[in-house]
Amino acid sequence: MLAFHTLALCSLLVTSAWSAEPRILPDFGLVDLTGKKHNPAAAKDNRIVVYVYVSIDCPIANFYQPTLRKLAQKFEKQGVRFYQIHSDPDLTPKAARKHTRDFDVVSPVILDPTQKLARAYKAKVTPEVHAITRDGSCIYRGRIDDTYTAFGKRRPEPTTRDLDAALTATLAGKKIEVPVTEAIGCQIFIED
Amino acid sequence: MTKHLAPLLLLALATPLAAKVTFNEHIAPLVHQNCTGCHRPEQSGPFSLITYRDVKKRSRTIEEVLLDRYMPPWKPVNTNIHFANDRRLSEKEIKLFSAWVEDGAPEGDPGKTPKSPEYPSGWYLGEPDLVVTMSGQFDIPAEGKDIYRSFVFPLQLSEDKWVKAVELRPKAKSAVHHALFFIDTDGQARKRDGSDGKAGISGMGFLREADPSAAFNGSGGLGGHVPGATPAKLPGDLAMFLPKGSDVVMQTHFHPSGKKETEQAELALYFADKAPVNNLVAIQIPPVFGATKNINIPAGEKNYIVEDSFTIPVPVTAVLVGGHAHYLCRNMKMTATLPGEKEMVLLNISDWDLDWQDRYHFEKPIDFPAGTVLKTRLVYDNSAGNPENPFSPPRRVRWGRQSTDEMGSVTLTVVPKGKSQGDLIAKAQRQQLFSGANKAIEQARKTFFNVKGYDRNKDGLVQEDEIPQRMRNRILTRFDKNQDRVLDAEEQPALQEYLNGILGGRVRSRAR
Repeated sequence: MLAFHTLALCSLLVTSAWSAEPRILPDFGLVDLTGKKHNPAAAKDNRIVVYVYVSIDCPIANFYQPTLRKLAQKFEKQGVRFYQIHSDPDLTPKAARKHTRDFDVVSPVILDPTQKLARAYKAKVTPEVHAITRDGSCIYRGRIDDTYTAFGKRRPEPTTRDLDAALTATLAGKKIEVPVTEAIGCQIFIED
Repeated sequence: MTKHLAPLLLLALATPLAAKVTFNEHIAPLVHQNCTGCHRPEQSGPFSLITYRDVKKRSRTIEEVLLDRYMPPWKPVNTNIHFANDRRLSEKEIKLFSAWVEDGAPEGDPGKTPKSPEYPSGWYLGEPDLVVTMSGQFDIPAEGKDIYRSFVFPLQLSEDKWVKAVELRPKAKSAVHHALFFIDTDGQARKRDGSDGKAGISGMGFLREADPSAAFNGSGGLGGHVPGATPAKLPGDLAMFLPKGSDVVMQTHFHPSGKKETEQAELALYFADKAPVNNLVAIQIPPVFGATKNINIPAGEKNYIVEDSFTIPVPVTAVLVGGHAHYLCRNMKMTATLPGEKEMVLLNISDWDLDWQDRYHFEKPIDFPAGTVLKTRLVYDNSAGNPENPFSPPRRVRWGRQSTDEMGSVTLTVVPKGKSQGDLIAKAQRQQLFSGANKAIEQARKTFFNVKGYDRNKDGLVQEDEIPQRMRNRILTRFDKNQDRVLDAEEQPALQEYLNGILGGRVRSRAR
């Protein structure tokens, strides 16, 4: 019930970054491509978990891989953990491993063939990021930055780096200016 | 009995969409016809769209890109002219797809599963007459800005050839956005190839100082490679001239795709048996991509217009049209007005995108009598509201060859009757080009090269801030003898003499 409560809030999104209500980040029993188990709430030094919904063949998601690597490295020491989630019932571990190598992915890569994560957090597209604090509050949801303004419309440089700004603000104990944005990308197909 | 059936029958006929839309019956033919050409293994599309599962899984994304008109990529919005290579879907086809998605994307009768479309293996146009490989390999980084780079394909032809078609096989399929082919007749590109330590020549402009119209003349080029465009041979006996000893230069636009890739493309050439009776002639308006139109777009300007026109001196048959501009251009239009008739729109692109430069082949070639007036109108948006603006905040942008400079023109490729007629078109274009250049020089003579013109407050003195910024320090160091940061009546004549010297040099180099 508690997990359901926090999830509902997450998908609706809370605007206050730090809620006084005691909650926990649910354990989805995540296993990465190397077989390692992950329960982000159990590790004490995790302050924020960022679930990034990706795909091996969405050009927009792939375009962001170098940016995601830099963000994961930039915030690692401050206790921010990035996880790349493939919510694709057809994806084989072999294809995912090739993608991980080709795009030099440094974060743990999680296959979500039953799509429990995508369903729970109502993820819509790849790439879409959900930044969640240890207490289960979803502090930011949406795009990584505003490089893409529409399909095929790409700025030479982003003018706002929304995920970076949200993480920076939260770590500094400040309010996030824009906690929800619309991610542009490829729709995640949810099996019936 | 029939009395009761008739209305039902009518109802069924009137609402065809009321029948269940299924993949096997309706969607597969639509997708196979319009998407699968690129969206299949080893092609430019990022994923395959062949089977029911492929299409069902991506049905919502496909619907979005159809409604957005991002896919299939097709820029012209002309309604009066039909293009042979048209890829635009009709409203009805898009509605059909939406209806299918709305209904849960059903597969339909399993007995009616359509066969996957078949494509020729190897080169699309069959066995080529010549296959050449790009000189050197070029590494494309995983990230960063778009890259424009020209590569040389050495041909080593010992005789003149006429080219019916070219077909490109890029290696870096997800990074190569498009490519244009030019002919280098004197080995200049080969000399510059690799001069920065990497294969190819940096930048957008393989535009030659000496004779820009020759290097960029459509009749001197070999067309382009656009993902998804089907290679096709020129109709009838038409062919593009490829002189012996020349090289092909491929100007390539790369989008870094998120992973490192390496390019070393192969190019297939298909030759004609003999020279065509009539040559192809490219009429570019404005000529040299607007170099003489003094393109100078202030920061923030939303609606900067460049217009030019050209009167065709001889009767011609128009076969294809295409445009070129950089990031700030929004709209691009070419019209033709036949003597005594109303204007007709030949090309209308309302949402110009540098990423999708194509050449549009008229379904039926159009005859134009002598005296037909061609007009081009280009609209540029240099405001912050244009997401493709390469500068944030916006900066003043002038004509130039770098992707962050601007240029623009629309090129109509025509077939005149006989070679002498083609020469007349080239002559008329040259005359217009030089008169345009002369006008630009005249304008510069009045402003930039005129000391009196600097004196905006008309006090007889040229204050520091009245000197064009780019030359300010140089001018003051040299001509401000008393070092008071003001050029007085005694100091001005020396500067004017110096400016006359620069201008004279420019005039001479242009006339050469």
